[in-house]
Amino acid sequence: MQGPGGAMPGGGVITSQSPPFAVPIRYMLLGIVCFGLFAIDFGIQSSALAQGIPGAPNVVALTHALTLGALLSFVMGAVYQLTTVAFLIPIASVPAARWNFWVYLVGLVGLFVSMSLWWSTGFLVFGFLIVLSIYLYAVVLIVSLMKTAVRGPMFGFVVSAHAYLILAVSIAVLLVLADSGAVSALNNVMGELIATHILFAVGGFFTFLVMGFSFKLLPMFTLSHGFQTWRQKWTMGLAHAALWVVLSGIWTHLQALFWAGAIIGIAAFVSQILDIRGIVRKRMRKKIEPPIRGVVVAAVAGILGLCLLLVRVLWPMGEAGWQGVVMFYLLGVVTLTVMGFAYKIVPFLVWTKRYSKSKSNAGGKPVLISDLIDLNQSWPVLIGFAVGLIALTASAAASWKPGVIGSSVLIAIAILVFCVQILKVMEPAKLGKELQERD
Amino acid sequence: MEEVREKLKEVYDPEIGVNVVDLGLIYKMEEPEEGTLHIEMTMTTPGCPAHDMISQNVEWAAAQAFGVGMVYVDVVWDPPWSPDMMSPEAQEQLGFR
Repeated sequence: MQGPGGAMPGGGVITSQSPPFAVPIRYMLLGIVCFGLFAIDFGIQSSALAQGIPGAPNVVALTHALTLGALLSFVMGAVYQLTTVAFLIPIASVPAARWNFWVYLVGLVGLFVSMSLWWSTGFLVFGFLIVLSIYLYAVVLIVSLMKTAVRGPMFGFVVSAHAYLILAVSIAVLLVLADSGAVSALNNVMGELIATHILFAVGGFFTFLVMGFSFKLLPMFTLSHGFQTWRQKWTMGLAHAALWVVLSGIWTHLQALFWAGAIIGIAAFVSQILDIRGIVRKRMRKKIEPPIRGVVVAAVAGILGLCLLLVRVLWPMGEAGWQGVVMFYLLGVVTLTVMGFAYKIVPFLVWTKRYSKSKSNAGGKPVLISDLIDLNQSWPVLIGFAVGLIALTASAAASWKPGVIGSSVLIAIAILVFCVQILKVMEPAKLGKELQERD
Repeated sequence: MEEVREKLKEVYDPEIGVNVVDLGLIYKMEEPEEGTLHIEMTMTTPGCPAHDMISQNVEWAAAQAFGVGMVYVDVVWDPPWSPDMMSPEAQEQLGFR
């Protein structure tokens, strides 16, 4: 309770900033549904993946089912929730966040269909919608963050991530204009534009976001105190440098710049892993839960992904080589991190909504987050996913089609089980009623 | 005060599964005037997402004790929480013993 006049006696911190439950959970639910749809499509498209033609319409649609459908949807919901607790600020415009969901949903579905059919008009119409929606999301987040007193590397990571998201989407606009023939001059640099779009989206937005929030979430979930933080600004500087050096390589076609960028990127991940090691060593919870282990493994996968980039520069394998590198990084670093944190974030959000006010369950004991999900169930999912990814990368490198298909199916099954587990926590029947409420 | 402490034992950190008293989150309980209670508490980590909910539940639970009319909950960060502040039972539950 606040004291008279709204002030807390003794100057305590007030953190009543969280957005209404419906805002983050809607995005997260869409993300989980898209994870499931991606997994099914991933299994179906496994033979197409084995051909190593990343520009094929079905592969482009599949990739965006993951990036825009599963990852970005879930991440938007998580960021709306986490920003308020990490930076102690409210969202700049809750109505914008709320209504933007529907714009995003229509744009996403339309764009997926347009990509699958390579329908130019659909690209323009639904591409415009989704670009508008992502711009709005990024602007709302950046405007929100400008009001925080919490500065430092985490702030830098999250703001940078959203700046890169704006750049990634802007490049996508150029790609659509080039592909539709509206700006024919861009046709000469299509390859560079595609690479830049992927770099800003995957290496920029997603990487900076998972790195930045890991510095907040890992200590929170391991109860870690007193760890060193001086290295974080170096991690951020190295990550920025790696991205821009690789970008220079894309546009100048100088192999040395790819090498330099990959090596700087590896240094950034090594720096992050040293920080993670410090956090884990200073933890107060003796047991590290499986999803958190998954997040740590994902950071190590960052190094492996950039090593693959180095190998790709040494032994070019055409588009198939690039597909392998991007796929490994997207799944191994970004997807694994999001899945790991989802196991922790979703139950917490659901518990806060449904059980934080109830004193006890039918057995007379208070309902805890551990009552909603047994995190040991995530072990087979995370191990299956990791094994599948390693097998997929090796099979693709060896152009062994049965291996690609088998490992893709294993990854798909792991993701589907993950979706079922998270949906059981959400309880869609209850969620449907809750989302109809005015909150 | 003992009754208030017992009521607060019904408030749990949902993530850790230990009540706020045994976790050592309650630093101070004072009754500056009859029926008014000031509680000074902390959280396991600054920016804890359960911050609002735990402090509100502490306020609500304390208000259930006999004779308590007004409750002020103040969340402070000094001294920072450490596992040493936990009860022996909580330390055992979390693997510190």
